[in-house]
Amino acid sequence: MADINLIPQVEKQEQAKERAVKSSTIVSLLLFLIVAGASGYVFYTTTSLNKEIQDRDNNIASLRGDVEGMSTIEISARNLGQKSDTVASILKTRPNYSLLLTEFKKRIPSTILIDSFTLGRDNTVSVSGTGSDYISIARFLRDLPDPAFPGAGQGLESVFTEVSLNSVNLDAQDDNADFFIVITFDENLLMKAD
Amino acid sequence: MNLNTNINTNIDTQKLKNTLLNFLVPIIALVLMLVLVLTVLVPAISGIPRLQDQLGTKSRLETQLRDKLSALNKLVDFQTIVDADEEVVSRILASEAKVPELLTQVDLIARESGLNVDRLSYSLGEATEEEVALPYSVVNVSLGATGSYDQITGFLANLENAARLINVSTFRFATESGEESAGLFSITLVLQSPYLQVESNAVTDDPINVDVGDPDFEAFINKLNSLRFYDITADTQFVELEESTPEEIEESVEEEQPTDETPAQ
Repeated sequence: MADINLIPQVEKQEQAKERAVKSSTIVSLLLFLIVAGASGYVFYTTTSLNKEIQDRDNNIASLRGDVEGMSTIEISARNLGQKSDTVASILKTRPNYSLLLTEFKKRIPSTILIDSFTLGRDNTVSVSGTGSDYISIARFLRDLPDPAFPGAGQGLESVFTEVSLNSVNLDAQDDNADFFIVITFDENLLMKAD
Repeated sequence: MNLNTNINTNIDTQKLKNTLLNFLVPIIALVLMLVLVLTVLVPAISGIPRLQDQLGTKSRLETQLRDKLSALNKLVDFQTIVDADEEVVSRILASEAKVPELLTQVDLIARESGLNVDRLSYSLGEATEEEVALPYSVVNVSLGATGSYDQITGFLANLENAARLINVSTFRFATESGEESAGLFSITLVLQSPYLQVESNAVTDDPINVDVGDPDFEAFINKLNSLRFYDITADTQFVELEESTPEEIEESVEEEQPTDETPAQ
């Protein structure tokens, strides 16, 4: 048996309209509440941030006043800082040539006499001298750059990096050999790290 | 016909009014939402990151100022140490050239090392390109002396341990001729002594990097204190001063260069 709907068409339309009004009211109110909540939150956040910034500004002003009141000690400290930094930098980067001479002397064979020693540019030293024979000069040239040289100073084993023999002449009168060499050294090893 | 149209229009307006009335609450809610979005949400969303940045910057500045104030208070507590350290550093890196004191110090060191000083001169001439690049000024000193190899080495070591900074720029030594001078060398050195006039200003917001209580700084000051200080007073016998130009100082070294050098093969 078929159902018979006795509700008039007008009433049906009225009911549909009421449902539409009701649901749109609920949805819009819900959305409004969400937007209102979000707006309240961001308003609160903004106000809090502004208040915090204001507090920081007050603190900063107060701290600046305190710091400015100690300008005399600040100037002393800055002078001390600048000078001590400069001194530290100089001490750290200057080569200590006494180490170079000490290490050089250790490597001179007894058969070699040094006539002149000149500190040149680009970490080189020009040395002229006399050897009792060619062999003693050869030994000198071998020992200078030898990192395993017995008795080498600690940290200075490789201070002489290169040696070039520029000239060697045999003196017929006294049988000695005059030589002229150029030594390259590692400047960094002459700087005191501490 | 005209009557029909009027009736239709009246009906439509009435219908619209009814519809508006029925949806009054949703419409008001939507309008209020729009107002909130435009006046509160959008400006806040773009403004909050800026405010947070501002707060971050101010917080950092506040922390920096607090640290600085704490450091300054500590420095006030250790005022005597600060003054003592400043005096030590100022004696090592002089504020002025102080040439007589410098030359006397060089002369003293040379004589104490056993060297026989032949010549001592200085120059305060125009700085070279290399010197201009330095963060400090220098006094150039030229020293001519005679001594043995060990005395020269000792002299350099004593210079390196002297409290007023003296750096060796260049040096040369050669054997002295004559039997009386056996084992002696004639040495020529160009020395540079740095000096620095410091006039700092108090910059409220900038931090201070000096901490006199820092173990590294204490070790550094102890190292400076271990250097040898030469107390040059009015009673100290001054050397005879001779001012040279920088060129003369350079020439004094170059003059003694060996002339029989053969170029590398």
